[in-house]
Amino acid sequence: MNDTLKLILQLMIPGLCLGCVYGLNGIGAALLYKGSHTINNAQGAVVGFGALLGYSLQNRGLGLISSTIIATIACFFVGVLLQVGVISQIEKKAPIYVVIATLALSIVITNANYLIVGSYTYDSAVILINVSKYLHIDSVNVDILWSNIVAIAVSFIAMVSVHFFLNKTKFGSAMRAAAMDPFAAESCGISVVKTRAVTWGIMSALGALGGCLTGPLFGVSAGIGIAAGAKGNTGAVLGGYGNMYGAIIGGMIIGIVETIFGYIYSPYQTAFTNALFLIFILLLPHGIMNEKAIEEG
Amino acid sequence: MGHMLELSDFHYYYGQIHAVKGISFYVDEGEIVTLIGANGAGKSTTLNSIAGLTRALGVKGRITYKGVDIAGKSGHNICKMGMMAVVEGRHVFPQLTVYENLRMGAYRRNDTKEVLKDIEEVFDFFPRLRERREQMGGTLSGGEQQMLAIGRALVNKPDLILLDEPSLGLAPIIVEDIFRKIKEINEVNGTTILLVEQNSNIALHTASRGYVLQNGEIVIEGKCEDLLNDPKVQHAYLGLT
Amino acid sequence: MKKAIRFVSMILCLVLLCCCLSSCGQKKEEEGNGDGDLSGKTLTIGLVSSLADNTGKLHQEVINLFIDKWNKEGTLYGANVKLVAYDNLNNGAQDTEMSIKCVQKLLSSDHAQVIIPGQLSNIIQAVGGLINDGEAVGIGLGLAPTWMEQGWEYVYRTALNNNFQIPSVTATMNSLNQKNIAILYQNTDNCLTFRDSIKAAAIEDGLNVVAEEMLADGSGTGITGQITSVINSDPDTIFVTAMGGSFGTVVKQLRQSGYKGMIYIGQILMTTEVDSIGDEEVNGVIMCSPYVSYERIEDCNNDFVKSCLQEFYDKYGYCPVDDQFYKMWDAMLLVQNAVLAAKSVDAADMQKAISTLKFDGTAGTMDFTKGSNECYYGARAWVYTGQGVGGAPVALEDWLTMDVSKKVIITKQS
Repeated sequence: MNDTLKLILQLMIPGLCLGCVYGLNGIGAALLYKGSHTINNAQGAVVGFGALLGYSLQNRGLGLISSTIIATIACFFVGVLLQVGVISQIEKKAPIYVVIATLALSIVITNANYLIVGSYTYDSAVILINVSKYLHIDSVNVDILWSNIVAIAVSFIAMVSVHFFLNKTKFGSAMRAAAMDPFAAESCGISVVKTRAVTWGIMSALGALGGCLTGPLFGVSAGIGIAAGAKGNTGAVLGGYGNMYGAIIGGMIIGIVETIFGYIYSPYQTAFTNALFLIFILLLPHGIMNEKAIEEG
Repeated sequence: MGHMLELSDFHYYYGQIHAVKGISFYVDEGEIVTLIGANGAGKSTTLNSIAGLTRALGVKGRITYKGVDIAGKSGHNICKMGMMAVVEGRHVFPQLTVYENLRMGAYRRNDTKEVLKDIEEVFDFFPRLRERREQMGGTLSGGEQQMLAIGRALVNKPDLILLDEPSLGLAPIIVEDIFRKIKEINEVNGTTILLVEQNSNIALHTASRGYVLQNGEIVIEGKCEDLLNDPKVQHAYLGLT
Repeated sequence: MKKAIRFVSMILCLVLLCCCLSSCGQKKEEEGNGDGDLSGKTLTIGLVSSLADNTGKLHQEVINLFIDKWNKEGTLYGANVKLVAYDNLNNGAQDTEMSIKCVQKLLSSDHAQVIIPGQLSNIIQAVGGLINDGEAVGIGLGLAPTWMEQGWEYVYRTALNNNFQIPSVTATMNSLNQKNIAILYQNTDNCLTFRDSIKAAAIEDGLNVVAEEMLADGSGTGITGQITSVINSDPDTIFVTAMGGSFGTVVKQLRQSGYKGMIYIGQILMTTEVDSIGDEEVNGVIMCSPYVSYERIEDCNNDFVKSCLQEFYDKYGYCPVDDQFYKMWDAMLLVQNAVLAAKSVDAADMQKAISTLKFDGTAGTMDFTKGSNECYYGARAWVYTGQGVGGAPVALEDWLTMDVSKKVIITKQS
């Protein structure tokens, strides 16, 4: 019994941690899809950029917490800049090229990352609480990394904050309104350019936060976010594309399922995870939260 | 100061298609002016261009509002100048509650207390909306959505409301109700209204002046009583022979 | 008059010729075949590599270092040595077809006596036959056993054949009494081959493979399940074969999941990768390799290697961390010793001489006398300590005497 519990904890906690990071990326994907019906392929590259930024701030002597906060905020502005400088310009002229443009952006940013730091992985400071790396649970004799627990906790806080921002503030409601009907929003005096820029900002900031949180676990490298960005997107589809709560749940499912399959039979880990995704989409074409039904009301 | 809103030699192009071909008209403060015409005459395009909701690239000519040229400005900036468009097809926010929809109407206002009072006033004006207060905008009936769209514009306390096809898809009895309210808004609040309508009969009975748009050009203009008696208008738009 | 001059000069020439011949004969008796004075002769070394990137740059730098030295000091009996380098990079990767063309050109128009077709085994496999038929001296820097199995008489290797590395790994495991091993591998050709070889060698050496898990290709993060599975199989030690650049993540995850044993890795760690894992976690990572890379020359405690690194540093101003440095250095030592022994820059003479050569290289004695065209037959075990010595590992024997070794569970059985 204890062994089973131990195994569950060993798999669930890191799986959930990964899932939270995918979820953070999924929120951005969902908000963006809802708002402008497009996909951001550059998300993973921005995650890598944020993680590297956080790492280099640590190298300059800043603490883990302050460097994470600064990297997150900085990436908010990076996202805003990308939207205002590149995406909105393309949207104005040829909206169908936006997806391709994000693909190009992804390559540019990732290569810039490589150019600056090289193809190496760096060691990010490990989160220590009471001078221990692990939380030891005596009853089942299992060590859980504080880094995992902190990553889960911080992700939850970030998710709840985004929820409150979108539902309880005027600008948040305006963002939702602009996402539902940009035409009407503009007529109500809401600047859609601004809400879209903030959407990109939030998406990039959440990605960077996820990158900084996984740094202590996997090390930091230029390409660290590529998988996380893509899986965030997959999670968002699983959850019902365009629904941010679905994206969170979808991301968590992917993180946990991936870890469990890795444990059960690793050679088919990716195949199983993706097959499950396909089955899911076939059975529930509108995702867990049935986004289509909500929209059609 | 001249007219509140004035268009002179206004053109609109959808790429190669010349949709509006150099029209000029004006709206004075406190008036209800209507633009009537058949489907595809360019009414909605004109109205959306005034509100800054069309592609700025397509707009040619001058649109002056309160003495400022607003041609090609973006919609949210024009809205800040006290003009509010109720666009065709209602366009309420489907996943916001009725109350939230109204709050969005007051987006440019920062006096929260006053806004709450004004929202109550809208509820007084459209009691049906009060009953649906916490319901999602997307779940309302067509008439209710139209009320919500107009209510949303009212909360903004605009000087000019642009109304596009308020009668579209509504039962005749509800249409009458809506137009009575429109008239009331004009009379009680002194709000200027530019009304675009396919239902020429009710539009001409509501407004004081009217313009008839045909294939992107103004063909007849004048007082509504005159237009109602004009045989050409009677024949083409009122269904009388 | 003219006739007289012509006659006298002819006589003079004959006398000179006789002198030359007689002196040759004397030397021949003393030191074997070839000419003691090669001035006026040219030795052409052909290189086929990705010239624009770091690897190709390093290759050229090492060759030029030797050539400059040889030509300046007349080391090779005054022979003039030159490098002809061709680029085989096509669409960002070294291209087989381009390499073949380069080698053809080196043979037919440059008449290169020595041809070095780079470090990639698939490229060497493709061009080895050409070099062999052209009867030039071919020197491959690749590690795969495949191309050496072709039976090419004139293609040599100045690196360690993977097949010789694996027995060192299992032998080290046995010597440390590590009986139960787990394997983590990535889904690439190279890693799969490595996994199969290590499994076969383990079984032959009486070891048990208690778990093997694949690290999904391309995803650096979703590996927790595999790591847990491997650790729960309770192995004495874990062997990891992965693409360069991925070790950091894998080792870090193993350590963070609470694994305290030794971790064998299939290839050399770059110093930057060591940094990425972190000092405490890298302690106990072990590998079998002929050489290790040093971030600073001071970190090296092998005098021979140190002098090579110093020579390179003096010329180019940086310390090479890529192991291509060692392979190419050994290749140049082979050329030098072959010419010195053959006293000729003729490829056939050099080939004859190579089979008798036994000299010191960067990874110990390079022994070509076994007739296999290989020179190294075993690897040493090196352990990373995380003790801040520039990321360089120490020899296993030394590590076992250090305090940090006590932090690692070497075997669970004793």
